Amino acid sequence: MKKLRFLAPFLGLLVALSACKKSDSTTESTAENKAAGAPFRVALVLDKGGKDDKSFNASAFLGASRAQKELGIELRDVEVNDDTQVEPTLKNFAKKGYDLVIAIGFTQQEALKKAAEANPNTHFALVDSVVDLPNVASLMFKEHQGSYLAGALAAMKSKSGVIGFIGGMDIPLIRRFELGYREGAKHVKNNIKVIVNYVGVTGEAWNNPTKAKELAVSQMGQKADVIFHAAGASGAGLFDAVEERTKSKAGENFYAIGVDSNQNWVKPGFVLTSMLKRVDVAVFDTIKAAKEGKFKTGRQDFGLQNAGIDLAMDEHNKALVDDWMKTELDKLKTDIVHSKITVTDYYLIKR
Amino acid sequence: MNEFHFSFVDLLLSGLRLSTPLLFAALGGLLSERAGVANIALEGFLLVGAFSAAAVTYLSGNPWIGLSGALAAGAMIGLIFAMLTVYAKADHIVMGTALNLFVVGALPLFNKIFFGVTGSTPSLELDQRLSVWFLFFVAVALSPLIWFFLHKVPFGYHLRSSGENIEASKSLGISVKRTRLIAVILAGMVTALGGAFLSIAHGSQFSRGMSAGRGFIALAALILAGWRPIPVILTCILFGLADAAQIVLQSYPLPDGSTLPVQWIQMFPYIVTLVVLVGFVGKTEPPQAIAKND
Repeated sequence: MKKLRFLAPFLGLLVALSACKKSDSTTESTAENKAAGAPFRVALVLDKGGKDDKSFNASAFLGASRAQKELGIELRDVEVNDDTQVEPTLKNFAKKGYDLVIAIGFTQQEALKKAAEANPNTHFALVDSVVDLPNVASLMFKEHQGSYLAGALAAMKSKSGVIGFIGGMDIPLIRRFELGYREGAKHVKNNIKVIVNYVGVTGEAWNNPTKAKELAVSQMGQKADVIFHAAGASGAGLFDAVEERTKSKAGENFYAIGVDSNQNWVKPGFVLTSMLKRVDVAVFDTIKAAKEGKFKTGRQDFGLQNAGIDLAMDEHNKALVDDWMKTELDKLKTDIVHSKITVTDYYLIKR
Repeated sequence: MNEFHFSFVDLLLSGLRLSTPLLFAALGGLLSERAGVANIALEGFLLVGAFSAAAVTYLSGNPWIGLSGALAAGAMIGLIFAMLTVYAKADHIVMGTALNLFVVGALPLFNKIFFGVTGSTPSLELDQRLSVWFLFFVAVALSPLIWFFLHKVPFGYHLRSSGENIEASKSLGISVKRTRLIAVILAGMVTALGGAFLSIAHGSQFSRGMSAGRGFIALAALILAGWRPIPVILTCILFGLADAAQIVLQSYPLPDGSTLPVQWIQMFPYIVTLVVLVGFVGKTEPPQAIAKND
């Protein structure tokens, strides 16, 4: 008992901190738009990266926030830090009568399947994976198409004939990026060398920037001068590496290519472009359709054809991408949309 | 056509950079465990150091103030851990786990309070960062210093004695609790330097979970070195080099032009551990009174 009494203040502190974290996100996320009767209620369940990952989750949150502002929905967002919490969280939202529950990330697939089976009257949407149920919309992105363009641009920009790819966790989704990138680069320059590294084989690989930096340093040591990352928050290490190397070697230039969100602004002048995965568009469109009673279930693909996938061109990389490169990219884009070029989909060759 | 070239110097330098945070964390663990406090909270200590270094550096614009901030925060988290284990007599392993979980949840909250986002601190410019090699040499110089402290300074005797035999130490008039408290605070400070290395020297920001298991690898390096401050330099560098080597191996072409599966290569550091532990080191003796409470 003596021990317990001693621990009380610490436990109190713990509870207070966790409570204030919770209330913090609740008050912030619950909309005040209750003007027009019962509002349309949407729950957004983000994965481990969290809504400030400047990348995938951030994009999803952006789309949902836009819907909150423009459509007057009520939005609740939750970051799930523990895989075992996903299923109870999803089920809980369904039980509370949310009109639409959106799960971000392939890790939520199994949990969402169970939650959707248990709550057939609630609409669910899942990004990056497919659940084949009558009340689920599966929002899939053609990452291989965008990666193809990124590879093509990398090959056009590279002076050394060597380019790099840094994946986060070694999973089929990231292999899909890698394969598209390789094909795009080979299309532009047949004898290009592509160096590929993965940060790791566990979830920690998304959050290990210094390891990613060493991968980038190693690739630049092997002459790679443009490096594309699909490594979540680890990508920060690539941006650092490219900047430091360029500044320490007079006359040599090294570039990074960002992923998911527009990361051109992170290190202007060193980020050649970013492969955009418009999760924000997908999330916004899904919420809009659901609110108007036009919720479409089943698999929906976002790719170059509907601007769900694109390369980011803005003021930060204007000086890095020449006009002829843009023209070439536009040609490739049209060819892919009109199926003149077929980019190999890693998901399809593996199954 | 897939010719493969890399330089041994680059490999070595990369290995040394990767070993630096391990060495700081292992030395922190050494101070704590030689005093008898089992410390699996190194991971949490690293994260606290990384966050406070990056946050203070960004707010003050000066990495030296940031480094001091990391030392202060490290002392604080060490104090909390010592209060819970030494004075409240909680189980060391359970408390270590709890502290790690607490830190993982609490840091994004602090990040939100200071910078409005939960994911990472704002990125630091090049001139706001410390040299990687400066901190590497600090880590290497710290090892003989800690050896000297443990073997030539009276307080060092007390520290080791508290970790070996509680009753005997008390019969000599040593306050085991106070000794352990100071040891764990020092452990927090040293480990926090490893965190600062990650966020303001090698990296340019704090992002959550960025220690990525290094606290546990450091613990393995510490055990492998038999809790001794000079051998721990070697085991940490060994792990760092193994990590760097697997980066190179990932792009090593096989005769048919493909590469080895990443999963196999990532086993490399762990296979090195097993071989070294079983083949060369044999049985290592932990401090006798480790994880026992006064």
